[in-house]
Amino acid sequence: MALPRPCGDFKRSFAADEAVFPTAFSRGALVLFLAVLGAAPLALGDFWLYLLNLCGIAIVGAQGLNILTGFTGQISLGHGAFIGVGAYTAGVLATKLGAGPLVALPAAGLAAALVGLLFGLPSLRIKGFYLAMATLAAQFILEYVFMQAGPLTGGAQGLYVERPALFGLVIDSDRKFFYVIAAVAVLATAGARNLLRTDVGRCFVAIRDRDIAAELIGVNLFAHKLLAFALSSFYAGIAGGLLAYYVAAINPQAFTVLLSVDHLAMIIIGGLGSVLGATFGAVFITLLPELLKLAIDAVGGWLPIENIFPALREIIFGLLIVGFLLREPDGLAKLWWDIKAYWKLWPFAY
Amino acid sequence: MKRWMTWSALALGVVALAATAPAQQPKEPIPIGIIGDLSGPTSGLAEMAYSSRDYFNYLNEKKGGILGHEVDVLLVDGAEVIPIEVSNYKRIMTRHKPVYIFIWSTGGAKALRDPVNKIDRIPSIAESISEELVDPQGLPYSFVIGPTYEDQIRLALETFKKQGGKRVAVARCNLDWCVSPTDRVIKEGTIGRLGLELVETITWPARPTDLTSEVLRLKQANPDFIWLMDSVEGTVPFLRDLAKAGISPSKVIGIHWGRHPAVEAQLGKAADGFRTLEIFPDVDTLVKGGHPVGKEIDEYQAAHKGRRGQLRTWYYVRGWVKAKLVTEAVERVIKKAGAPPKDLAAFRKAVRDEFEGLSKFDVGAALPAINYRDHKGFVAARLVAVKNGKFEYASDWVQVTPAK
Repeated sequence: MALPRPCGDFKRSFAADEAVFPTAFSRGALVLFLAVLGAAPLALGDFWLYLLNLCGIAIVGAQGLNILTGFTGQISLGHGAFIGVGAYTAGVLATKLGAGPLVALPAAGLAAALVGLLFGLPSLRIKGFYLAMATLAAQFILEYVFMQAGPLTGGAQGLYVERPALFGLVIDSDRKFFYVIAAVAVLATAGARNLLRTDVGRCFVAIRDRDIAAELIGVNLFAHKLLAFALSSFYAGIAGGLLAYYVAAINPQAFTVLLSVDHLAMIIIGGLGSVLGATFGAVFITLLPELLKLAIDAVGGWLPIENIFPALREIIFGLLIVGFLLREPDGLAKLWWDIKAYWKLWPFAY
Repeated sequence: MKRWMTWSALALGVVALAATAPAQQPKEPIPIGIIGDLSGPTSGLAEMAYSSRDYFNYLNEKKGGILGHEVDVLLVDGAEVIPIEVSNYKRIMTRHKPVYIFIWSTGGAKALRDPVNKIDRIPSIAESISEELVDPQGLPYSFVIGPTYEDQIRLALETFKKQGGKRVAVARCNLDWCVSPTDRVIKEGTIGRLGLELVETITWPARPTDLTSEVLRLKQANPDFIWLMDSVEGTVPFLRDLAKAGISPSKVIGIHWGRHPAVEAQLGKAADGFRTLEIFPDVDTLVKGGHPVGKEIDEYQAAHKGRRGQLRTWYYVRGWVKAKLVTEAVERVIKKAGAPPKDLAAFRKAVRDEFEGLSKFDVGAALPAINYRDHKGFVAARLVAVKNGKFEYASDWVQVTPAK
């Protein structure tokens, strides 16, 4: 049975045109999704909840990078280090000053935003590969700071972050963490989606599409590029703060350039410039190794590949990324839109 | 005709008896989980994880498991990345439900301290031997094997003192396991107490390619002895660049990870004089000495040629020994209870208690007697030195002096 869906554009106001969930069906689907999300911990074991929590943290981080790279067109290879700044800020506040997560998490975001702002300064003068190199330098500088600022960061040893308490409730299980992380991820996604509908968001997109043209129509390039860096890093800081609390132990090895590359892969595979794409990409990159493991477990009994799996995993991971870039450069988001378009008028397709 | 009918009736009877006889139920397996680094920065040492798995396979093939209970071993890759190690821990705990778990890195083991000791209460043994993981009261389910990094540093310092030198330098990589133990020993004042003086501490990024500038800095400090804290990835370039600067390798004692065939293969006689600690002998030493573990490994590797099978290093022995110790504890539990306890929590607790109760135990690998009351197993090491391009024993077992 085909659902009654509008065919054509019947929007009569700007607000209707800008609605994120324009139909009763999409609003219903949102409610259903949130209900399923809320009930997930009741059905899932610790392992899958742990993965979902990692996905949630990755979504926050990926949305941040998407604001900078996807919306504003400023490439960054320092996102992993900005996540590290957030993790260490939350860790230091929690372990050395006894701050709760309601203080430590926003502070983690703000600290990362400040650092992002600082390293975003060269973005007015340089762009493209040169900006990539500048942000890569930020990555290495911050890694060095994490390692050398021993009294604050614990140096190579890192920090051991105690389980946080929220309104008197100690968040000490995957289930409890799930609700906190899911709430933050939903807020972060909603924030990124709404940002696109504001004048600031449109300025970001204008800069990405043609910075000289944007400047000619009155967009303050410097301010908006810096704002993009700050917002992106704020998201990264929040993701880092969540990671510090969740994994409980942080050290500099967790925030290397590989983490930056992972996040870049998330937004590229998901679909650059798409909020939904960043979400899909974060989930895809986080779950891919686990899904590969499951596949290997399934065939492991009759194929002698168990011993070479670690190498095989990296190869399959790389091949999938290359395959995606070749076959679907607009990412997973495009696949989703295609599926939606197919079902929209089903069974009366054009 | 009559005979044919008799034989047919007999055959039918046998078949019927066989069909109606109660089928022998296989005994329930013993699940064990192993997290190794199979693809990360320390995957060069992955044979420690593979060999534990190999021992359980050997046990299954040779004896049908532990007292007839096949060991169901699951080996996964933690890649020396904390979130991946934690994720794999959860994966193993949820899907495999092991009675014992092997953990890999210092960071991973630290991150898993609470899940292991407070939530799942599962006995665990880490590949890391950092002192932070040893606390029989606070971390009752966490064990390590052999003298800790800190123990080894103290032992080396005592050796320096006996040789009459005074000026000591520390050379190390910048990873947690290199920095934390050396800092801890420096802070506790052991160097001063022994009448030594710390003249320089140099730290380099992990897996260095060139250490010339660091070595020149070291030369300027003119130490009598150098404590080297890095795995083979740092040991080889350090010794190579030391030779370039004209510093004798005989000034250096390295942590036990530096006792690696790559030192002999890549540096040969250029490393003559270099000393390192050894806490496990290699396979060939065990075979020559007629020790049971050497024989077992030979037997297993002979049966599995062409797969992973020709690993002869002490790393391989270490993983094998760890699995043997776990097997001993599980076997004691089953013997006492008559069968594996049905309740997993009770089974884990019983295995932990038996593991901690291992006392004066000879594992058959030419090691000092194993005592797990202190959660370390044993606290002795031997010095080995490179002579004519080959490692040779330079001392007998030396008992490590406990921290003051």
